[in-house]
Amino acid sequence: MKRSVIVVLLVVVLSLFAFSKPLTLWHTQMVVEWAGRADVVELFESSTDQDVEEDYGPALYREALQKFIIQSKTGNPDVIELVLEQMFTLAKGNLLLPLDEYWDDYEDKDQYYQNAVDALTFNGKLYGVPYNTNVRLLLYRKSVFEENDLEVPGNWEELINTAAYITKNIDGMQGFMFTTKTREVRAFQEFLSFYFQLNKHMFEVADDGVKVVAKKEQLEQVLDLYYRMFFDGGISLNERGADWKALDYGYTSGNYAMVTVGPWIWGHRYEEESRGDVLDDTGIVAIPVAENGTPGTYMEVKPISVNRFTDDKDKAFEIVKDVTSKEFQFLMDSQAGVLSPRKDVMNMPEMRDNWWLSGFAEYMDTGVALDPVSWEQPQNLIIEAIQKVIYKQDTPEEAAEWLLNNLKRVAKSL
Amino acid sequence: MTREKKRAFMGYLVVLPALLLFALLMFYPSVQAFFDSFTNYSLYNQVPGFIGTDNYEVLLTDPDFWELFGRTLVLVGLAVGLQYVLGVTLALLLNENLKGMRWVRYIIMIPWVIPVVSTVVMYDWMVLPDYGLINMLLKNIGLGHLTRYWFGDPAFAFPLIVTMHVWRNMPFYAITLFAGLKSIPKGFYEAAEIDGANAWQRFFHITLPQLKYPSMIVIVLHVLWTFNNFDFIYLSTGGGPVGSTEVLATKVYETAWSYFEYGKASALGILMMALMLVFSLAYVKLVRSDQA
Repeated sequence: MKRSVIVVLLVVVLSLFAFSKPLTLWHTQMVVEWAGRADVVELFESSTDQDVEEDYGPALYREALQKFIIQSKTGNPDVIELVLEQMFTLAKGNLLLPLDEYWDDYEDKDQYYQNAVDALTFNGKLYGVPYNTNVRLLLYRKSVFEENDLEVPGNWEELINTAAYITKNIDGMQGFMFTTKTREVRAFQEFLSFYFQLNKHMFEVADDGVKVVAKKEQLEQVLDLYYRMFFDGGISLNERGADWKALDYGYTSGNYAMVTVGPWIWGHRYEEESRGDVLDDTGIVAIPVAENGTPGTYMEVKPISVNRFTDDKDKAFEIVKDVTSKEFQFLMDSQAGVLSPRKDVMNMPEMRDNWWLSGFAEYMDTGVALDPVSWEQPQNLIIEAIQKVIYKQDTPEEAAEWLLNNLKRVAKSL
Repeated sequence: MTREKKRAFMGYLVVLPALLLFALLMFYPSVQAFFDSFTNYSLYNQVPGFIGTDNYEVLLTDPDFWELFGRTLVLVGLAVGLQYVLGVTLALLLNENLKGMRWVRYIIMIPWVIPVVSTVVMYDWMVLPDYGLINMLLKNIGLGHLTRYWFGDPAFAFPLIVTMHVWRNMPFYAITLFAGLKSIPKGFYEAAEIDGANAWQRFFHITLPQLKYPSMIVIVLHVLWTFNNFDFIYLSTGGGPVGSTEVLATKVYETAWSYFEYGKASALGILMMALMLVFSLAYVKLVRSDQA
């Protein structure tokens, strides 16, 4: 009898072991090639107590989103790293697990900056744990400004004039740069970095649906900035339609005097020494503020979220904790040159005393998080409006009216 | 069972795995898309309701659809036309006994075997403002005023897309038509020469008619591929600037993956499939009737 009980137990235990499948984590930063990837993967694999597959999913956010939508109901992947816009889309599609219950019991929750956590809330529920954050600021070439006795612009008028002056008078140098390519997410983020000075929201999420709170005059003012930047000579017309590669690599190649970007561009120093020289010659200040506006810029917060259909929610959240731990965030964010949403990480001397990171951290409180709606359609509409202006299909006023009408048209489906 | 029936049974048995695979990977998704096209299925509405032909009515009464349809036809006409003309020219060149032509036959296939994404990345880097290869060359030869982001200029973006299609697919035409040239009996040309036909007459009355079937195959295939092609445009211009390179295939993608309206995207896909089915049947019938 005893022997048969032992055999049965043994079979049960063995079969449980045989059928327990490893959990899956999709994390682009553990796949895409960058200077710190190997260290980050090694730290995760050596520190996690969970059985996790060593394939960390697609390298591109868009591909990860599409695959997640298609296969999430199989429970795979259990955990996914996203960008904020995608998190709202998946939360609205009911594919992510609300984490409030786990968050309330999470011992490290007080270490997080509240605005970063608030940014990951959709319909009153928390859908992710932040692991990296940044704001868009104005980066400028200190030597160019010093040698030409130029003041760093403080408002939009000064920005337009300074950019035009540099383009006209300094050989081989363009004063400023905007990305304006179709479906280029950076173009949309740059637009919002200026728009948020005029209005901290574009949409209002109410019980009866999503409403547009942007005003035509505000949209027109930002579109007019684009118009003047291109047609007053700050940006060459031949650079219309360029994407993030043109902007990032153009700046670190020394072709542009000013750009609005986030801290990730620090990574260029590992690609070529000359790019490091440009970055060492870089000043970091707030984006010039509209004459009738208040400081504000696009704030990015990247979340780690859990699949609603995961087979093991508890273990999945343990993985979330592993890839948002103090050690993990410090390693990843310090190597990538970005900010951490954790106070204990940002207070570490290596982060606090780093001129680049502290330069960005200084302006974190001006960061505005996206409204909690699905942003894919507004994003495309905003870029289309920018293009209507810079390709002179519409005046800024006409494009603003077109944009507002279309935002209102799609609002109910956001 | 007679021997004949046994042979037939074996035949069916052999093709069964391929048929099952085809049904699973091609037939099922197409049928599913057909049914989805009559629903309001979306990411936010995963319990879709039947809405009849609403999706089709919305699409067919949308001026954007007809604009994109027109642009898609222009793209197909230009790309396939240029590919064919250049492909025939290259095939004739390959058919000549020139020195080193054997190596050329190998080398010309390189563009065709390079993945589309690599082709687009290569072109994109070449046309970037300031430090793209084309702009650097222009600067170095004193034509700096012509530099621009070529994919960002509405006047050049579409021709560049056509160029990428031609660059990639022309070798496929050349090799297929070269194989066709090799199968033309030399006696035809000898007889024509005796009758006093000149080179142009031999080309138009012997070569082209004899290339009818390989031509039909490459043209039908490339009309289908170009009509449905999405990656060249999406990866290079995203459909811009100001919609100047947007075609039906990129619209399907946008509807499905930017707006998450799967029902509407399915309807657009089914319309495209129907259009191509009509084209393929008509073209094949035309070629066959001509042959008869």
